[in-house]
Amino acid sequence: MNKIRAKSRFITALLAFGIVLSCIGMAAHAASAPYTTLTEDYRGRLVSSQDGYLPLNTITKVGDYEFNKALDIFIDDDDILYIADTGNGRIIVSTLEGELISVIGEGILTAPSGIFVDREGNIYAADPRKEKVFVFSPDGELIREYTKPEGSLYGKNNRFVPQKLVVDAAGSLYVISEGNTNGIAQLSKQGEFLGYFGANYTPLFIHEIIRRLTFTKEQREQLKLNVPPSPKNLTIDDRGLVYTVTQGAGTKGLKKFNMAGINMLDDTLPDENITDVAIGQIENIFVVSTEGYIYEYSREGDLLFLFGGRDDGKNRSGLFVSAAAIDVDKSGHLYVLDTESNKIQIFEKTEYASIVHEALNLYQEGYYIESKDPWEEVLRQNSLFDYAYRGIGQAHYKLENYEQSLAAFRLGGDKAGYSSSFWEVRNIFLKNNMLKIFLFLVLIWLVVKTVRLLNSMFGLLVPVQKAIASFREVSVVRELRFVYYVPKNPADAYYGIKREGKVSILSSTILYIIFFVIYLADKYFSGFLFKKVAEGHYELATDIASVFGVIGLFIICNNLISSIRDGEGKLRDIYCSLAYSIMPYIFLKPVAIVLSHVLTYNEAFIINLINIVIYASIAVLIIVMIKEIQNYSLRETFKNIALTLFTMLIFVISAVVIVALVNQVVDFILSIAKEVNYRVS
Amino acid sequence: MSRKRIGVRARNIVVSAVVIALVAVLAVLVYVTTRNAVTTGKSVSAKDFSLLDTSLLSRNISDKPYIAAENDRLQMILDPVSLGITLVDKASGERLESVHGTEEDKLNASWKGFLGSGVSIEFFNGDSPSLERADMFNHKPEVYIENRDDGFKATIVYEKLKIALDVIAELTEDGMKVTVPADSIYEGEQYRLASVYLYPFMGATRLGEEKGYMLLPEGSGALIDLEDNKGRFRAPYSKKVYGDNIAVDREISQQYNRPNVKAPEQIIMPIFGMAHTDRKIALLGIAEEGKYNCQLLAYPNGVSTNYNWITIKYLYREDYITQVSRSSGIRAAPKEGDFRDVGVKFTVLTGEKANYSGMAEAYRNYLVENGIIEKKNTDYNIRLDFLGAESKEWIVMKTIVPMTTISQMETMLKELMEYGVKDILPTYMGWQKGGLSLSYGDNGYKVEEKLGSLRQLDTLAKELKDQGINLMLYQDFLLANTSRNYDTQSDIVKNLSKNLAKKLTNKRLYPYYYYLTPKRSLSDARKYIKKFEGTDLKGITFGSVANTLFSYFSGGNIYSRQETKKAADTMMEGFGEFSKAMIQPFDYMWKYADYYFDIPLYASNYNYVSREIPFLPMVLKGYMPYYADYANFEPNKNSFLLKMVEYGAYPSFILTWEESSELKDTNSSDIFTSNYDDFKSMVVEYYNLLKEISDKTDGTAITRHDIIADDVVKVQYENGVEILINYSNREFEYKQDMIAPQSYKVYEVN
Repeated sequence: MNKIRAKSRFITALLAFGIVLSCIGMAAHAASAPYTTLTEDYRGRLVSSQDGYLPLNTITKVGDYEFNKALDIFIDDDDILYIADTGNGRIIVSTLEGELISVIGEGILTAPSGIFVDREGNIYAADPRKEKVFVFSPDGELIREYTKPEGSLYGKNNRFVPQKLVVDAAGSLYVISEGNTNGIAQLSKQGEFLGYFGANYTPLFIHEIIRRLTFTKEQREQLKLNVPPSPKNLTIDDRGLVYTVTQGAGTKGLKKFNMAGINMLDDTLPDENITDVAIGQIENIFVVSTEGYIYEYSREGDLLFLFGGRDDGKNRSGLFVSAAAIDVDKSGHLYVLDTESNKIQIFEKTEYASIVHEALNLYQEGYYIESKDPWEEVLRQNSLFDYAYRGIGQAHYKLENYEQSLAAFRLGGDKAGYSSSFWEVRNIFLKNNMLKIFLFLVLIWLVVKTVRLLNSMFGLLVPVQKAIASFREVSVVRELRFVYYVPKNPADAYYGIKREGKVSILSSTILYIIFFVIYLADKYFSGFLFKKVAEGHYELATDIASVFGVIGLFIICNNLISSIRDGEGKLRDIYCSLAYSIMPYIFLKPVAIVLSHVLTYNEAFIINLINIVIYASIAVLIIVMIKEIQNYSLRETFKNIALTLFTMLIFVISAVVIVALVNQVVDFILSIAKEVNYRVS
Repeated sequence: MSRKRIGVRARNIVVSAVVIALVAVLAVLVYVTTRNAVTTGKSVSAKDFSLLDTSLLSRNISDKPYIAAENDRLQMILDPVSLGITLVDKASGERLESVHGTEEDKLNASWKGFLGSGVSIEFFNGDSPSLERADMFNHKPEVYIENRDDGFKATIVYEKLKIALDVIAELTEDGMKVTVPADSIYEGEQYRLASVYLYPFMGATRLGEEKGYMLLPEGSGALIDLEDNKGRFRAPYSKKVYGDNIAVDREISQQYNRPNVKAPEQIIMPIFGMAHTDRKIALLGIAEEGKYNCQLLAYPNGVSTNYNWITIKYLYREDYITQVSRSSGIRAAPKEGDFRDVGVKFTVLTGEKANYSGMAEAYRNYLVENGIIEKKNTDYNIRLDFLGAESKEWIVMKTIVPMTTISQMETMLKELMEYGVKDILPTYMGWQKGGLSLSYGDNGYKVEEKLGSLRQLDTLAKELKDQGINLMLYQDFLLANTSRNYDTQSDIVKNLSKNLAKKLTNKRLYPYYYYLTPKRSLSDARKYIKKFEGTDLKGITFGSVANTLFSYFSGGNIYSRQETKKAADTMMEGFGEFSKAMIQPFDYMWKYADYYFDIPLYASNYNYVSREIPFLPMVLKGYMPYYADYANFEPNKNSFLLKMVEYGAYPSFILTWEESSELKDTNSSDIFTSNYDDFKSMVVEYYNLLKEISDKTDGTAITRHDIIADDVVKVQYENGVEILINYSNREFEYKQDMIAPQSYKVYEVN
């Protein structure tokens, strides 16, 4: 596999850094960080990275004003910092260096927990205790208050307890109200309720469904209401798109809404304690959790950096006791508010992060070819940053270097890109070699025909044919060949297995082993586009356990159930018949495996079709098998299968319980030993 | 069989089973109790308090301060009530006080007593794991003072606590020495001595009343300015000298899917400093005896009191966690103590030397006089570490991931030499069978087959030696990979809770390593020396041995950190004829080291640190060559280069032939960029840039380091060379030159 890296000279790199630095105008301190920084590889696994951001300064006081349990900060387009000093009921307005500009809202605000400043400089403060949103002019005069919207649309039983808000260019407010699970309340500039926006969904689990189906009306009313979590915080970007973060929503904790209110982002990293979101200069998304972890995502939701952490009690900058809010200034510095230790930590971008942003920016704007060099520089600095390969892949694709883009997409895990590149490469290959392939096939056909002709004239191959024939008569081979009969007439085949001794345990075992080998081949050696397991990742023990475990469990449980319900089949019959029932897999899967190496996503349906055929036919065969072996009616067969599956489930559950109990006993004995040890010594 | 006989049989079986179970339980109990007859290692114990005879001691006549000792330069004034000492510099008249406290400070009784006492102790009360403090006022000790020519001996007796100890103060030409001899310590049953403070407030200042700074041995050196912090800081700087003790200190839990908090830097030198820059008087404190088990404390004003103070506290006992169940433990106070002589040396610096540059010089002179450091060859080299192999999971076993074979290393070195990089100090890591992570605890010392053979390595070493290049082999004699079997009774370190001590790695493949006991490390070292006898492979880079110091429990005994240190000495002496490089060694290892690797270039981001200074480089320059950490992983490469220039450090890189992505599933997955092709040009550039500087400074010492403006630093060398480093993003004018932002300039002697 050729690696695509240009050999850039250090001086040019240094010049590049210099240019980048002067554009951004930051002081590159030789600082270090008390945390490690991670990024994602193409499999979504977290891997090490250079630090993207380093702690620079802290703001603990603005002029003489300290803040107490502040819950929000906001940096406006003129790089002015607003702090919602919740504990002191006021808003502190400061420069980015911590110099006081003014203090707003004293005497009016009680506990402002969310702030937003619009283009005109008006300051919107959400005060949940007063249940109002206050709007102040840039001079600090109170110009408006928003209270609970009139009318029934908002919901009679829903209180208006504004915690966080943003305002769009038209002056509409988006308010998160505490306890309101309908989503974000959208109010017009005049305070009219316009609707709810961006609600979360409640995942419905199986036990919930079962409950709903089986409980009586009274019982259902007793159940706790299954409500979706409400968003914790939100922000809005220059284009008017709203972003929310929600705790307890797993991989959907971060959402980016388009105008229709639909989430545009795929899964992001789950974090139970997610608490604020901010948007950077290139539409990159910053998220912070209360534990002090800071995530930076590209605008598509790909993780760029993950850093930060919990304060270890040693007063080190860059760690947090309880982070509450994050914002970004025009030069890309991050400001993170720590509510408990009453300070704002400022982070500075490193040279490395600047290169990443430069490459990302070009790539996002579609300048793929121009993004290639910065991406290669990024890779030079961190060869695990797989995202860079996608950019390089796109660049090569545009330049029509399909072989190189193929390799790059593979390293970057971009299957869509790989598929397109592969299509092109295959196309070229076929165009160049079509004639040769055709001639080759004709040649093969000629050779076969000639050999046949010679054979019929001179009997050259007769000894070989005799050997093959006698080989075919070896008992094991004969039994294995029985496999061909199964799809032709399943009922009769199973009868043959049961009564006529057409197969043996040995041949069945061989079939199981072949099945397992093909299973492994499919799992680990399929083509890149269709493989689900990561490259180079093997988990043989799990495979053995799962395949043979499931098969064994099925056979045993089926035998148990069948014996109880007057089935005629013996254990041996089930063992052998099942082996022969999985023959569609043995014959068709290898075809799928070969095809997976030569097809692209455009033709993926072929492989899907093969898979459907395989699994459907196996299902049918198993049903026939049970019917014939146990001599059941069709109805009894289905009952038998249902009961078998149920028994398998019981087996698994009991095993889990027993293991847990044994663990407890061991723990208990060890505790006693340790306790005795301690007391006696 | 008849029913009756079956019944009898069954009954017999049941009875036998019960009897066997009872016997087993009894046996376990007996075994457990006898195993816990713990004998202390070789530490001295305190004497029993009842043996104390105070009849021969004289109580002091006067309660007023008097001159206890005097020499040409200094005067020592003793206040017998508080045992406070005032040091006076006769030439300038400046004083350094050791007791403080005014009405305005609104101190509670405990802090008032502590601030007002020259000497204080901490002790454990019964089984409680909490420390209590006693000074010269609380717990009302009796003090007997014996005046001596050069100072005094004070015997402090706490009747109620049944604790007594002697404090001996001796005035010297350059300062003062204070010691507590181990055989002067008496203890009772209930109250057990935990630690002692010797003049902790010497030179302390109040809020921002004095201009100056405190020097911390943090990283390579850090300063806390003496300014009024207005209550911004809540917690003090409190760190064990020579790193945390794995036997006692709790480790941070590890996690895989989140960033980790990096451990803060360890304290390499047992020193501290206090400078009053306006008055031009400063103090350097050096822990001498008993320094292997002490703690450095620095309190900026606002933390507990209004005072800025810095000191070293000597530990005799520490609380530890004892396991009571599989997952939890409780804190307990130990019965055994680490009793040995403890002492601190204060050096008073005045005039032009009353700053950290003067402190560095004083410390270096001290090291030279006491044989702790020797002049080594400080020629310039670029350090290149080559990673040979690692291991990763493959189906059910581990498979080798070769990263750089011996011949590939040779190719890289030869090519670099052709590019003009002639002075190289190469270390081959992970050359052992199984690769780097599996080599920990392996004492076979075979070369990994996939990398080459021992003969190849030997031949290469000889060839390189002929070209003036010293090939080093990396070996860690301390860590042990858990996939091997060990005799846990004698070979693996157990902490004081009698559990195997673990070093967390934050990686999935081998989540932790064990530590080998000194006994086992020594025997491994001897095997190593024997293995390489007669070869040209006489260069060794030591891993954890030089920067890990611990007390431990093994084979029924408790061993102190001092004993571990002695074992390390023995090991190093065995390697007499080897060239030795060490990773960030502590000061007591410096006399054995020929190369100092991974000199810290940063402190650990503490909020109260005003700035980082190259104190350690100023001590070592001219005596030992020191190398920065790998440049590969630096996110701000330019600033890092400037840092190396400022500190006078030589550059280091880690290189592999294969792509670093191969290491993703190994324990070295944090090496995310090391490919030779990527770094070739950077290696050449860094080599040339820093060689130029090294040639100009010509192996001389750093005489002064000053911060002349915001983010602008000036370093002066003994041979007159000056280097100006501008970290800011503005031009800086110096000597009619405009120095560009983020660059440096070297001024040679005309």
